Amino acid sequence: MRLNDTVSGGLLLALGTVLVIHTRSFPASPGQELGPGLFPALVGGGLALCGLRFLWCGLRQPGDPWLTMEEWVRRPHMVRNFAVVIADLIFYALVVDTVGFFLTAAIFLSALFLTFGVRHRWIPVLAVCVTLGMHFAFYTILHVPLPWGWLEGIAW
Amino acid sequence: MTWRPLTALLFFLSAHLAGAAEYPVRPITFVVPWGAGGGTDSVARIIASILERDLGKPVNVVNRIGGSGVVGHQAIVSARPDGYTIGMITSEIGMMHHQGLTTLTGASFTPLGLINYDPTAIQVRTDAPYKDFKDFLEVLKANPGKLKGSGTAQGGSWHVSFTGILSELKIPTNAFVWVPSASNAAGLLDLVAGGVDFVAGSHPEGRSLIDAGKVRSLVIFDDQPSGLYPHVPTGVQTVGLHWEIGAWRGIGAPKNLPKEIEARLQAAVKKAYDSKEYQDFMKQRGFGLRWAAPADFARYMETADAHLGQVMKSIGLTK
Amino acid sequence: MEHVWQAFELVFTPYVLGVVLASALFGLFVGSIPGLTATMATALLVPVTFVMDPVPAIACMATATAMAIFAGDIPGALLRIPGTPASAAYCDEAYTMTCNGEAEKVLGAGLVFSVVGGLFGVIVLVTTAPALAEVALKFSSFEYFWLVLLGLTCAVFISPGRPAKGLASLFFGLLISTVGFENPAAYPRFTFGSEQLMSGFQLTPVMIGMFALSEVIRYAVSNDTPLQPIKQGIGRIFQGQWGLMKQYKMPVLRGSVLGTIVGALPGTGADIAAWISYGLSKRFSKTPEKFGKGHIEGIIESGAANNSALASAWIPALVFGIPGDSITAIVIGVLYLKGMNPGPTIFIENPQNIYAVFIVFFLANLLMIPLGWMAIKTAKNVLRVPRSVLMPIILLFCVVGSFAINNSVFDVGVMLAFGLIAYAMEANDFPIAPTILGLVLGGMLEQNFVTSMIKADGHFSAFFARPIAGSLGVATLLVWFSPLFLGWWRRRRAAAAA
Repeated sequence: MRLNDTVSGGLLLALGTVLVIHTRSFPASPGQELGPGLFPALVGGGLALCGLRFLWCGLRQPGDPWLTMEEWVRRPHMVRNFAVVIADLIFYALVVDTVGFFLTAAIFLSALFLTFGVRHRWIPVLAVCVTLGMHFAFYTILHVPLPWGWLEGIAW
Repeated sequence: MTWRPLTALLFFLSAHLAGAAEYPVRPITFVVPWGAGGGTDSVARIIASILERDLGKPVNVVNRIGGSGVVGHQAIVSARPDGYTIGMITSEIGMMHHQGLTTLTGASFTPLGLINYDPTAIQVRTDAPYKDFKDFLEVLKANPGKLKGSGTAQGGSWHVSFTGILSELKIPTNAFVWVPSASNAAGLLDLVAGGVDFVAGSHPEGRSLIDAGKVRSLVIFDDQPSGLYPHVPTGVQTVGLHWEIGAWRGIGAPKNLPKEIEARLQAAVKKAYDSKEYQDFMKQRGFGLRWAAPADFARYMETADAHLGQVMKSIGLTK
Repeated sequence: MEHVWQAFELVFTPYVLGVVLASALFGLFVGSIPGLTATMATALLVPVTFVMDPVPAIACMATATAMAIFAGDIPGALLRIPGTPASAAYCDEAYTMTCNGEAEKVLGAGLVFSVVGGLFGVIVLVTTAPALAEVALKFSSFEYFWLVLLGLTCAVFISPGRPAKGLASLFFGLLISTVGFENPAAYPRFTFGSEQLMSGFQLTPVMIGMFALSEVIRYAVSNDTPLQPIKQGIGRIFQGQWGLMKQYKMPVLRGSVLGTIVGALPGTGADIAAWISYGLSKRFSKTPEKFGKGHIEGIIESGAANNSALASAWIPALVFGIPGDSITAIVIGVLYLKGMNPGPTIFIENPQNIYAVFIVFFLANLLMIPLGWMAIKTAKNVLRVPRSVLMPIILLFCVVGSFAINNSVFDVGVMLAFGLIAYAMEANDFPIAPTILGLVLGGMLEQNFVTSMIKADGHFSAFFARPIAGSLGVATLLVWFSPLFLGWWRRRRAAAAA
């Protein structure tokens, strides 16, 4: 997804303006002259100025299309790849606390291996080995509390 | 065919869960609401290592930082009350809810014991013109709004404590300007660099610069002299003020802990506090040793909470 | 002199050397895993040091952190996942070089110049610690404000392409840094009622998302695998490094000096040193147009800077017990525990212990050469793994690494969001490095600006009133306006010649 200067400039200008307006609603800080809104307002101003600059450049090149989609959007299997990566991450974040790291990570990896075309018979082996290795490195050596979830009974 | 290992596993699991062996059967998570490397973190790590030996299972320290401690405290309260999540509670629990940052108070926890208390002390540059704290207060009163102090964030524990001291002494609380700092160390640095005029904080926090002769402590607000610097006069001695708000650390668990697990943990915490290792550690680091049993700890949190609420309201920090 | 011999005896025992070796391996391991910082490596070592004597305890921490900072370069160069924030500054440049088939050159340079910078920092630490610590104590918020502003200015130099895009990206990073409760007014901003957002955005998940996840997405939606050319493997790592050293004498020296100074200042550390020196490197380079296309110069300078900063962070820690960064904050705690109370007297009371610490520093930096070589040799095998297998594993690393920083699944979501944002930004030619820099420095900029204004009762002139602040301020303004001035000067000369 490629936006031309006019559109991206407009978006930045809008973001900056909203910021400046929104920060005016921040309360003053007792005993301080500068409230919490000052710095974000300055940043918003900066964004708006950058936006104006892009707008100015964009309006001088009127031929540029507003929105150019990238090539991959028209190829179904790449759209699928993209969707699987995003969906897989969301899946992990949603279920890992309940289900636990082992099962979630194994499914997470298998789905990606499958999508990226790893040979089918290798998938279970790889998924299990990587999950166990990862768990050993992070949980055992580095004390990162990876959740156990359903497997809490066998936690070590 | 592929199902056989899985059923075996499930069978193994259910047998394990039903067995309900004596607590604890698996690792315990010890939540610290502050970052790795800070004072609270180091106290937590030593306590955890002592608890681990007593309980016979790993006690893993987990830092959950952010939002001035809100995130970590919340993580303790909202954990399952099964004894496998405990954590450090710090003085900020008595302040955050007054600011409308959270609904948590000290009463949201099952207290397991207070293990440390560091009273408020006032530090100035070594070459500062004040003879003692009285002298300092005279200068403060004579030049309202001129002296600048630092040591914590806006509305942080030392800011509130210092303001509370002033209002107890009937000095207008706008007599000074508070310069927020990210940590007490940052405030002390600014003091040495000449950016501010005084820092409110504890003695262990100021220790290295006091020892280096860059900073001196005017007063400590406690009933007994400081373990690190016994020559520094107490608040009672100089201005006749009894003030018991400072930085403290305790151990807590989620509410509704099963009774036998609660008793087991309380005993373990008390034992850890009494251990030579912990006592030596705290003395080496210069942290104040103070024990309060769970019931007293709960009572202390309640009074401190009310007191802090009053002070914060008076300076417009409450919501 | 007697103390020096005693110190050698303290260090060269099988036990201490064993500890050094083990912690070096541990540091390499932690540093090369994305999401785990050198700070975390140190924190994990604290319980281990409880049972040790003072010298091995300190040796353990010094070695592990030095290794971790170097090792952060490895996944950055090979996979575009900076292992530590200190490597993020030149991660893109290093990855571009790997894609150009120059993996051994970039990793070798990272190693060699880490050692050079590290040794430089140690020499400064040994020779001038007390004096430099006194200078560091003169820095208040006014000085830090200018320093941070100077650092931010570098973002505009770093970014390839249109400066306006780099600037917009920087402002975006600053905006991200304002989220949360940790600001001078202690007011929760842009949290939308979320308790998780109270702490703002953690650097690590944002960084992993913007660099690594965006790369995985690019792999997923393209046929040509971006890392194809590096199949040739990694040959002789040290070949040609001496030539680089001679060619880039000035950048190495500048990086080491700058790193040492920035590291010695409490509150600024290896990551900021790396960013500033990368920016300066481009600014003063004879060939700035090569930056961003796989040019070694900036990597040499900032690689030297981040390791020298690491050593000099010990200066205020040892002399005044003031942490130079989050790592030395932990070290100070250990020093107290071991009865080596930091302070000016540390050099008088236990001189043999402090000399022993210095010897360990030299040892750790020298040990980096063989161990780093081994690490690079091992890591190169990563490049033999087929992309279709490697990418899912990288993604799992991204997830666990983001989780590990605060043990919260929320950060996995943050990583995902910023991965998508970075993908969109890069598709539109917005560089992402300035966003990261904005996030790193935004909090410091605001803190130091606001506290300075409070101290000055609102008078801006106070920013120039102190000698160091004034000089830094003038320097910053000169860097800003010198392109304008130079342009005007050249035009005038051209006009005069015509």
